[in-house]
Amino acid sequence: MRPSERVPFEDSMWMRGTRFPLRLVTTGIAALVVLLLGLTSAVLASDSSEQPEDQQTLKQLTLAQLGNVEVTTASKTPEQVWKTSAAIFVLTQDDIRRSGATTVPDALRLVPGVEVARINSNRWSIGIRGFGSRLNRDVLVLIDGRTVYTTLLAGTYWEVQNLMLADVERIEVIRGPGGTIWGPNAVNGVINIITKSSKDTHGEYVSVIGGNVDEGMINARYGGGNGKGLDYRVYGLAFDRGPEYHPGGIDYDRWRAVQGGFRVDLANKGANRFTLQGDIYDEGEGESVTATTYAFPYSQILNGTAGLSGGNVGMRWQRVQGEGKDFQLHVYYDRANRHELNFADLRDTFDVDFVDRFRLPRQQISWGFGGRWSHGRNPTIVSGLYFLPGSRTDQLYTAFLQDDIGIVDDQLLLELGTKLLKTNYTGAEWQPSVRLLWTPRATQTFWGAFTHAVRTPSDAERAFYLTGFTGAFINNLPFFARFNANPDFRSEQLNGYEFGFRQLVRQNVYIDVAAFHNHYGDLFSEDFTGSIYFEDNPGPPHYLLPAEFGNGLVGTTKGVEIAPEWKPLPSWRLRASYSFLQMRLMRGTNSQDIGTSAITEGASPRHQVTAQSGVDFNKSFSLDLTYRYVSQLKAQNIRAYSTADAQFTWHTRWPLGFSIVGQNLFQPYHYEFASDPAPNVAIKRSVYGQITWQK
Amino acid sequence: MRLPTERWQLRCVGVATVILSCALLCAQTAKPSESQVEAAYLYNFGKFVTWPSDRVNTSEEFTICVLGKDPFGPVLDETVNGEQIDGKNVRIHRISRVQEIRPCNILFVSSSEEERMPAIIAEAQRTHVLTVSDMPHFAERGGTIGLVNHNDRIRFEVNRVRAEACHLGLSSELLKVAVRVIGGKPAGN
Repeated sequence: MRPSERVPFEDSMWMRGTRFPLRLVTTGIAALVVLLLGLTSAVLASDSSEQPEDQQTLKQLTLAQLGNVEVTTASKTPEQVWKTSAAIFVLTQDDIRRSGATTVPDALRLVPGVEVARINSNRWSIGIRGFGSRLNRDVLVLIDGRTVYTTLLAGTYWEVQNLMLADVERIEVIRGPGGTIWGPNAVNGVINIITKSSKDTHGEYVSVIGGNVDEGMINARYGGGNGKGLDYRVYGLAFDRGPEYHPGGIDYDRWRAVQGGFRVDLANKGANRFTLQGDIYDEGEGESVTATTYAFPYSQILNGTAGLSGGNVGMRWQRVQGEGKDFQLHVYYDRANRHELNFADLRDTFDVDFVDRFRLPRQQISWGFGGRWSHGRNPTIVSGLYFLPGSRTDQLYTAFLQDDIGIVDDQLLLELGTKLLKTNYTGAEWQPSVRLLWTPRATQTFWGAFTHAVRTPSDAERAFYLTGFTGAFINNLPFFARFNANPDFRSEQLNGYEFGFRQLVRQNVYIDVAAFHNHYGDLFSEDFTGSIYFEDNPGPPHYLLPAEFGNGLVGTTKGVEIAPEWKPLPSWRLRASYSFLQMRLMRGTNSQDIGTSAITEGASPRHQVTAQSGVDFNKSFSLDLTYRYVSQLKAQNIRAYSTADAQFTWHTRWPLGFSIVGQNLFQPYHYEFASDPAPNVAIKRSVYGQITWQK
Repeated sequence: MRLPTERWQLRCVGVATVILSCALLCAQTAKPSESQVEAAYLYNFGKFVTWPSDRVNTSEEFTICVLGKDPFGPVLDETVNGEQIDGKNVRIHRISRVQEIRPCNILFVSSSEEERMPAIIAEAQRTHVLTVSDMPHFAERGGTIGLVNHNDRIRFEVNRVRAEACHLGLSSELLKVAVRVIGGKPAGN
C-alpha cells in the first residue's frame, strides 16, 4: 500500500461511509469473499501432505517425542463448551490479546449475538439478543463471581469494570436466560469474567500503550509463589483516554483512571483451595448530562467530570473431593462511590454465596443459596433528580437446585433446575429451566432449552424521581414532566425457547448455530399516570405532568447466531459470525406507554457480521484482522456501518514484545449509538502502539 | 478513476496474498492442548503393550474406552480415525459404568471417576485392561499408566506391578521413556 493512496481513500465516500450502508455491506462482503477465495485457492494449491494436520502429526510422534511437546493448559475450555446446553461463547486470553481491545466491552464485539456500541470515550451500550442500552437491565455481569450489576439504576456501569486484560483467563458469554444458575437479571445473557489464578501469573509484566485516543496506558503486575501452594500477584494500572469526535466541539469525554489490586491463591495438600482478592480504583470520567431544577434555569446541560471510586475484597473457599463433588463458599464486600454531575450514589454491598455439587447414579445434583445486601445513599445534587427514601438497603435472597440426569450414557442429558428468589421489592419468584443436550457423536451436539427468567425491580423504578423540563410555561410557571417512583412495579418476565447445534464438520472446520424465540411480559414501559397539575412542593411552584416506569409492554424477539470457524493451517485461524435479531414489542392491554416500544426496538441492530483472521508467522510475528458490520439503529438515526481493526505483533527473542493496533480503520469517525443529551459523539479511527515486557 | 469499491477489493487481494505467502512459508504449529497430546498417547500406548493371548484372539476390534466425563471431545476420534493397532480397527467407546469395561483394551479413566478408583482397579485386573488416566497420582493409586504434566509437557508414569497383575506386557521402550516406573525400571536401563 503506497501512502499516497490514503488520501483519496479518506476523501472518498468511505469518509462519509455510513451514508451508503448498502454499498458498504456489499463491498465488505465482496472484500471478504475475495479474501476467503484467495486463501482457499492458495491452500488447495499447496500440497496438503506437506502440511499435515495437527492431530495427525501428533499421533505419529514417538513416545519420547510426545513427552517433549509443549501444551497449553488454557484450552481446556473448548471441550467443556462443546457439551454445554446453552448458547455459550468463550473469549480466551489469546482471543482477547488478538482483538487489540483495551477494555472488556471492546473485546465483547467479537462475540456473536452481543451488540456493543460505544457511546463515547468512556461509555458503551451493550445488549445481548436485543435491548441494548447504556446500563443493560437484562444482562448479568460477574467478575470472578462478584456481581457488578447495580440495583440502583439496574445494569452495569462498564466504565468502572476495568481489568488488567493480560491477567484475564477467559470471558464466558452466555446468550439467553441464565437465571437458574446465575440469579435474577440474567434475562438475556450472562457475561462471566474469570481472571487467572495467581499460580499462572508468576513474574513481571509491564505493558505501555500510547496512541491518538488511548493516549497513555500502563499495566504492571508482579506475581510469585512459595512453590508449596501459595501464590500471589499484585497489579496496578493507569490510563488516560482522550475524547472521541464531537461535532458540537465540546470534548467532554476524557477518561482517566488509576487502579490497583491483588490476588492470593492457597492450595494445600488436601482438596481445599482459598482465594483472597481485591481491587481499588479512582476515576475521572468526563460526561455531559442534563440537570433539571425546579428553580431557574429549569434545565441546563452540564459538562464536567464525574468522580468514580471504589474497591472490593472477596474470599472464596473451594473444596474439591473429585470431579462432580465439590462445594464453594464465596463472600465479598464491594464499595462504589459515584459522584456524577446530577446525582450521587454511595454504595456498600455485601454478598455471600454457597454452591454444593454431588453425584448420584446417573445424576449430578447442584444446589446452593445466597444473599446480598446493598446499601445505597443518594444525596440530591439537582432538585429534578432524586431518590425517596434517600437511603435504602436492597436485598436479595436466592436458593437453587439443579439435577443433570444422564438419560442415555454420554449421549442424552436432561437438566432440570429452578431458582427461587426474593428481593426487598418482590415476593418469592421462580426461575425454572429445562435443558436437553444430545451428543449423537463426539463431533456433534444438539441442545434445546426452555427457561423462565425475571428482571427484578430496581431503585430506578421503585424509589426514583426523574424530572424533565418540557420547555413550556403555563401561567408563566415552568411546566415539567416527571417519572415518579412506582410502588407497583413488578419483575419483567421472560419465557425463552432456544435451540442450537455444534458440529466439527472436518477436523479443522467448526460451526456453532443457535436460534431463539423469547416471549416477554410485564416489560418496562414509560407511562403517563394523570393530567397536568400545579405543584409547589418541591418548590418553587410549577406545573407537572406525572408519569412513571411501568410494566406496560409485551413482545417477542427472534433470532439466530451462526458462528463458523476454520483453521486452514495450525497457525492460521479464520472465524466469522452472523447475528440476526427481530424485536417485536408492543403495548399490553390498558398500557399508557408513551412510545417506549419503538425506542427499545430501534436501539438494537437487526444484522451483525464479524470476520476475523489470525495468523502466526513462525513464533515471532502475528497478524490479526477483524471486520465488522452493524446494521442501523432505527430509533436513534444511527446508520449502518462497517469497519475493521488490525493488529501486528512482534514477539522478540527477549522478554519484549511490540504491537501496533489500528481500530475503526475504514473511516475517520463513525457513529455507533445516540448520546443523551445530544449531540451524538462519533467514534474515531485510532491507532496505538504497545510495548510489553514479560519475564 | 476507479471506484472506491474496486480499490478496496484490490487492497484485500493484496493483503490476502501477503498473509498467504507468509502463512505458507512460515507456518508454525500452535501449541496443542493437553487433551490433544493425551489422545495421541492413548493411541500410541496400544503399540507398546501386549495383551494376554485369549483377549487378542477374541475381539475383531481394538477398543479404547473413556470412562466418565469425556475430556477429549472430538479429538480422540480424530486421532484414531482410520487407524489400526495389531491389524485391528481402532474404535472409541464411551462408557459410564465400571461393569462395561470388559471389551476395552485401553481404558482412559476420567478424573470424574476418582471416587470409584478401587472398583475400577479391581475390574481392570480381572478383565486385563490397560488403565490410563491424568488424575493425580494415578499410577501410585493402582492405575497402570498415569499421565502427568511436567512444566507444560505431558509425561507418563508406569506401575509395573499393576501391569503384571493385569497380565499386560510392557515394552522396554515404554518403560525407558516413562518418567517413573513403580516396581523399578528393568535392568540395563
